[in-house]
Amino acid sequence: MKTKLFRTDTKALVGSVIIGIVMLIMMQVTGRIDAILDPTLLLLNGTCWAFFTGLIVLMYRQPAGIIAGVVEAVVAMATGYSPLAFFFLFANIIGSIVYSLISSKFSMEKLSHHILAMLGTAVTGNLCVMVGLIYVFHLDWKIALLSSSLTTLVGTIVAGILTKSIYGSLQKSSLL
Amino acid sequence: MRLSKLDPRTKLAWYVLMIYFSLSSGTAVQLSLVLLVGIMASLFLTGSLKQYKVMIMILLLLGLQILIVQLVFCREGVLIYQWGILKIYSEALPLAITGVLKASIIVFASMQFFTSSSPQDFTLMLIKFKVPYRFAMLVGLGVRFLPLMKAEYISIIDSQRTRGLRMESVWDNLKGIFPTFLPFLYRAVRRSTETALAMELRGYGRTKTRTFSSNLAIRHYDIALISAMFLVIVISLVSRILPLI
Repeated sequence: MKTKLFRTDTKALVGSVIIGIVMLIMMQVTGRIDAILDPTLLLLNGTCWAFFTGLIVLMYRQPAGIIAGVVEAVVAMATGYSPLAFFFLFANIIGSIVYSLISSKFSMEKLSHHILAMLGTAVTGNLCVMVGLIYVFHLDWKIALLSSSLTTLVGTIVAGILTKSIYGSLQKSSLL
Repeated sequence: MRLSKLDPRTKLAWYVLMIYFSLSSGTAVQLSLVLLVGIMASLFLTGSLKQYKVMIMILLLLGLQILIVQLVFCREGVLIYQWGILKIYSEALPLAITGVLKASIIVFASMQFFTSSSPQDFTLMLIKFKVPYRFAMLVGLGVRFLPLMKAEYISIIDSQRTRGLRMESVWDNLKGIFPTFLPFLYRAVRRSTETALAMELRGYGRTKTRTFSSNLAIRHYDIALISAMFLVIVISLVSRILPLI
């Protein structure tokens, strides 16, 4: 089943900005918890990122996914939230496009569809962050790969399940 | 010349230049020089570095994190200390310093660029880049809604606390994510629907173009600065590529 890739009505544009801000706030909350629990892996933060990237695309399609990603990355850069924020810009844009392309091929009614779309998003997004870890933090590529792989694995499974359940409840609530 | 008098496109070119040098410079001396130039430019144009005070605290914490990561994982140089599986190599500290300097330049340049212009200037800049106004105007919307949404999240946390949700330790915060996040998300979706409707009723998106109360006009010194900055990038790229040919 093929679904539409684009949606440019006012509700989608405004929603992308507001949900982008929600994403930013939740990323900061999970980022602070990660800084104490797992500062190098950022499992919660990575999962939160993947979940929002998927949810926004499902709710408002493109270019809303890209706009929300840009809002999140730009505010993260402006507030000095992370030195990797510059790489979030690419991760958010590429991750969102990949999710759109994969989700448009499926009905997104089964958990496997969500996991598959999330896998593409998490792999491409974490690849961008991995480049940041190597270039900015001067981490050895093997360590950066291990860190990104772990975040991808956890993000794909947890965010895939979360996206399915929360998108389902949003559809039922008739808020969309 | 004051910072506010410069065109946002000149500031964007400066930002690109700083990011380029932060990623392409390899030694601590080069990176320190780039950071110093950035700080001097900011001091010269704004007369104060007060707004970057908050950045120092973030960078100190980040520097500590990078140092720990390098001490634990770095395998370059000679082994200088071993304690069980923990091995510290001689290159760990220099790599941590360059990492911190690169991160500092990126954070500093980003703060410098995104706090130097008003949301309307950014909107006008996007319009000049031929971005349709329906998309360009979202900059202002984002700036307007950021404090509102933060206040809304805090009010949700407070209302959940009054219902007995504990938010004291890290573990409590972790457990408190779902009970606070879900109402926040549903409220945000409802708010975006209401805002979109209100904007459409006021004529947003009815016509293809719209007028603005102010306009961006690029000046001669802006053109000279942008050209000079791109020339520096081109010369730097050519000097890197030529030895490879």
